[in-house]
Amino acid sequence: MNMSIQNRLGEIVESNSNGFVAQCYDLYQAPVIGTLVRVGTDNPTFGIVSYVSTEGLNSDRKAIARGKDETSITELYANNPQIAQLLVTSFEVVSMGYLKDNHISYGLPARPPEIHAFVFSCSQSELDHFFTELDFLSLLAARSISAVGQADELLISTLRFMLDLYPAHVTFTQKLVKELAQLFHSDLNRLKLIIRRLKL
Amino acid sequence: MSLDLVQALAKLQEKTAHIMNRHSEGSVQAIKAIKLLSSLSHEEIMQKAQSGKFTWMAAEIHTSLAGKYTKPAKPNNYKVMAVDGSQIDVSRHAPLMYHLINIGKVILTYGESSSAVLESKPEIAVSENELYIEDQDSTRSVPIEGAVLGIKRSLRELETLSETIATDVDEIPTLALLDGTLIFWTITANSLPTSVTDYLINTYLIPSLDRIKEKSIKSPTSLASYISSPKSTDVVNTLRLAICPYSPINCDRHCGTLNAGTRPCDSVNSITDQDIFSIFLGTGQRSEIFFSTSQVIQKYYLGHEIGFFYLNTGKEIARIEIPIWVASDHALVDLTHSLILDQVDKGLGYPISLAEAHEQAVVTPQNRNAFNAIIETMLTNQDVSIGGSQKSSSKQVRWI
Amino acid sequence: MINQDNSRVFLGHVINGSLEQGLLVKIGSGTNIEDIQVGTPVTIDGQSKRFFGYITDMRLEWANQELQDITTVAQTPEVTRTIVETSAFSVIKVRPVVIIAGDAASLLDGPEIAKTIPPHLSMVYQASAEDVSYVFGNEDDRHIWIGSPLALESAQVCLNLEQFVKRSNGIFGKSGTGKSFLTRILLAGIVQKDIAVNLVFDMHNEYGWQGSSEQGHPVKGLKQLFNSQVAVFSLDPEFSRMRKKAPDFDLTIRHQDIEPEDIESLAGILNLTENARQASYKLPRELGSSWFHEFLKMSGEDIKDLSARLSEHESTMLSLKRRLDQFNRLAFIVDDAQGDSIQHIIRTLEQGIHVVLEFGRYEENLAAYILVANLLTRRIRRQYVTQTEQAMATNSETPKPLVITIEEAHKFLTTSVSQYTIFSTIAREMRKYGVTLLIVDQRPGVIEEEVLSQIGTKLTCQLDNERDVDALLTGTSGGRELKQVLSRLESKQQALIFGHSVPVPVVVRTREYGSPESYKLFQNSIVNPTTLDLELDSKDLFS
Ligand SMILES: Nc1ncnc2c1ncn2[C@@H]1O[C@H](COP(=O)(O)OP(=O)(O)O)[C@@H](O)[C@H]1O
Ligand SMILES: [Mg+2]
Repeated sequence: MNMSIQNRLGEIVESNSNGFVAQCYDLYQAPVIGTLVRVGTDNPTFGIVSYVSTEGLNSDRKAIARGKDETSITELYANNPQIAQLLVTSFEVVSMGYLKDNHISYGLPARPPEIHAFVFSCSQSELDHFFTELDFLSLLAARSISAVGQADELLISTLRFMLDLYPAHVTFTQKLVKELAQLFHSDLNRLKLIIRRLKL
Repeated sequence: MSLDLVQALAKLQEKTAHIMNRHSEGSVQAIKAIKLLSSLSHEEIMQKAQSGKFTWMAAEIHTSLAGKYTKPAKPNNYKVMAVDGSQIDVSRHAPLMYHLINIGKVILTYGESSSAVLESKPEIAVSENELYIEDQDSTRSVPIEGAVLGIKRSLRELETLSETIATDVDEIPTLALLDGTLIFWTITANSLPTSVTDYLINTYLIPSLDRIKEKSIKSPTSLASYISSPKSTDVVNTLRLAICPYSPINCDRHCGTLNAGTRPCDSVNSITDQDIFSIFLGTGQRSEIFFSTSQVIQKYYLGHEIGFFYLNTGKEIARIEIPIWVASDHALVDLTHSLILDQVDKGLGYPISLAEAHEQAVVTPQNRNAFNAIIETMLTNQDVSIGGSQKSSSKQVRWI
Repeated sequence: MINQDNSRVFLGHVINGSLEQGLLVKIGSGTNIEDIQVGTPVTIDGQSKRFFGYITDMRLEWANQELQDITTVAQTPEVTRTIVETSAFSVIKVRPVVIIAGDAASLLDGPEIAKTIPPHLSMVYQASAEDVSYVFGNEDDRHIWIGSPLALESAQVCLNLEQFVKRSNGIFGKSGTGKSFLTRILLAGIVQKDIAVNLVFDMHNEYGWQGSSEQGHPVKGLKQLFNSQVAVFSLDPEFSRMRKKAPDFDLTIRHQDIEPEDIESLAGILNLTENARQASYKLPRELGSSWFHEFLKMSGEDIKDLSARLSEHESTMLSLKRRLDQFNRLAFIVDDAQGDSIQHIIRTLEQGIHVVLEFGRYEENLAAYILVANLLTRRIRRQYVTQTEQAMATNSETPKPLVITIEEAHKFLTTSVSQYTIFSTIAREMRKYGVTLLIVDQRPGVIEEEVLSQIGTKLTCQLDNERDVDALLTGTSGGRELKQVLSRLESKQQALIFGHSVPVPVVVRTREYGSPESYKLFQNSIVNPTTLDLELDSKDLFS
């Protein structure tokens, strides 16, 4: 129980078949783009953080420049303690798969997760389990461009996340590279960009 | 066409020409008034006031008339508490008879351990005894709606603020801020049955003021209300007394038959206090503290008489109202002066704490519609008792 | 590395191809292209048929050529390789030749020429030993085990000797590639299985008594293996005695045995002019049956005289004499022999005894070789023609097929000379009389095209010369592919077999010959159990 509170990253405030938006409990405490996260406990959905934003809690209130006379951002926040309460950090997650009968199915969950469902960071064994197969990469690649602006940022961030998980694991790297090569066999510029960006 | 733009614009021009005219006239009057202000002694005026019979609600002056005070230093660690409220009035069209008061509360702590609490708390009244105030002297009871709801809301704001202060264990300098006036003249202006008026005064007003005063004894705590662009003329009215040629003053007798504008004191008839102090006060400066002579104060505020000063915030002239136990404490006045200026600074023209309290309190038309929709659903769904889900649904007025 | 499936080695899937060009097979990812060799027999599991063929070519492919420049992007060779591997793949080209299983009928009939191809993604396997034996048969009273296919040491490729001897055949390959060993195996097989009777013109003295391997080990000849079934004749008894292996018989040629046609067959070797050839035909009339002897004895005056009589130029006759003079020194040409040894050989053959004619020290004397071979063969031919025609007339048994083995055939079957020799006639016409040639040669490209085209089955070891290769493959179906295979044979003991008596061209590693065990296999008479049963059955029935 304590454990699960510790691993909690936020709570879902918007949800649909493609994914969901979760709000963080603390300002600026969102997981980085490309992180694999889990929702729910019994038949959890897994997804990848695709977008992080911090904005006014109330959509019709914008932040304004306040720091003209402040010497540092810390001082600015100290002198305007309400700001932290008025801003909210949230992150978007694209759904990538779900666990059923102890088996990962890649793809979109049949039902989107519920509003207010908790979003957790994944344990090492969950990460290992999810990344055993790489079938979700095609879905991710398809979502990558629309998720974060133009290029393959989401895909690249996720790949980086994965590679960082297994830094010295040559076979994993090769498996990943192979999957990418197959995925982008008809779009070599994309493949090259990714390889270059990942410094593979 | 629902609106004839050409006609509307022509009317507007007419009106604004008139305003412009009055303005220039006003500034001339204001400069005259300031000269007068500086030349008069308050004892003289007070004497005039005491001996005279007049209808003007003139400010009572304890010190000088023309004092002005520059911005004092503010403490390093302090707190500002602010409360604001909004309401959904009883509607004949709504599926349910109810009113809602949403109280927004903000606690901003500055300095070493800066922090913020921003919350809102809605209160829904649906039952008979929540919707009506019984008149002890008759079988009649007063429905809480319209102006009465407004009174109740303001009192609840004050009450909330007082409770917040009372439960606060910190002893650092604290400013408790309200939006609007501390002078609840509306209680007496609505011809409410006496028992109802007494009820409102004794249940809400006085206990709340007492509570804050009590805390103020223990640690430096100030209570103030902030009135933006005030239209009040208390000081102007005092000037009327000063320039009145009759002694003793007796308006009815001397000028009762005269038309407005032709009376001797009408040389200040087109200006407000704001006009005077906008010229008189430099940025950051406050005026002398005056006291209101409102009836409601004289009748009910014993020990909590309300004084006020004008403050040039740099953006506007604001009227700051404070109870007498603040006004008579230099340190608290300075605290109020400095912190309000700082709050206005942070709020870019309006005290930040009040602005946020307002944000917390505000009930938008969308909120209201959504809330009504929820009520409707609840009512049609027999399984859900209103009483049982009141708490949870009220919590979710703004956020899902 | 290689996928095993029920002991069959999986190679890949058919992805493309045509009946004419062969099938392209994408190599399975678990298979290393380097483990595959051109010429390897394969089976293809079609929808309803199984095909048997062989690998004719292999190549490396890119699904996406542009991927090649990924090398400039990736920072480690492993990553480059991983990416490249997703696009790069290997393809082998397979020629399906026969169908080895389909409906029940084809199972009974044995392999049937493939007139169709298997569909996309049919699985291709290396042929198993069973597949090979299904296509090439098992060793029995007609089939001889000749070697094992590439990459499948356990399988036996067999040759149907009965089919084999119905046409002239050739064993080719440059010097030292295993022709003689292969010839020994075939000859031994023919003897062992009693398919035909052999006449071997053993120019280099290696088939009768023992020959030797390049390493100097002695290798048994037919006589040692089959003793009484084989008669060794020698042109050089002295040589045989020196070797301490006496021939069964000495062969002598009597002067009267030599006919003008024999001279003509030497025209090329002796560089005879057309006139000289023509003139030789006039000599028997003028000088009698011993014309050869008489003519060589003549003095200058006699020649002058003779020229006048025959109205030939004296120079023509002189040059003819000069050229024939070398035969004077040949000891086996005798004036008056004890008997007609040519007739002896013919009678020996008639008895079904195999004849090996050793040339002894005449092995270097090509003229002697050609003279003897021609002379003998012509007589034999006459004999066979008469006998066969008689047999056909009287409906009695035709003579046992005769296989004449000749070495260095290119020397007298070249386009310029072959027309004069009896061998080209045999190659062309004698099939119907049961006489065929087994040509053992290193320069097939020089042999007359028409002769080569008569060759039913070709067993060819490594060949360097483009012309030799082309000559062998012209007119062969799948010739282009076979050329790939042929050009990659190992330098020894490997042969490509194609033609009449094998349903599918096949590369074999020739079975080992020379060890005691290998001899034993030839000495045991192999009896096909099926045949035996049948014989017993019929005996039972009729008794
Ligand atoms: N079937 C075989 N068994 C054993 N050794 C062989 C075989 N074929 C070839 N060789 C080896 O290759 C050498 C050359 O073979 P050989 O038949 O003499 O060549 P060629 O007649 O083509 O000149 C032999 O001496 C022997 O060592
Ligand atoms: Mg308000």
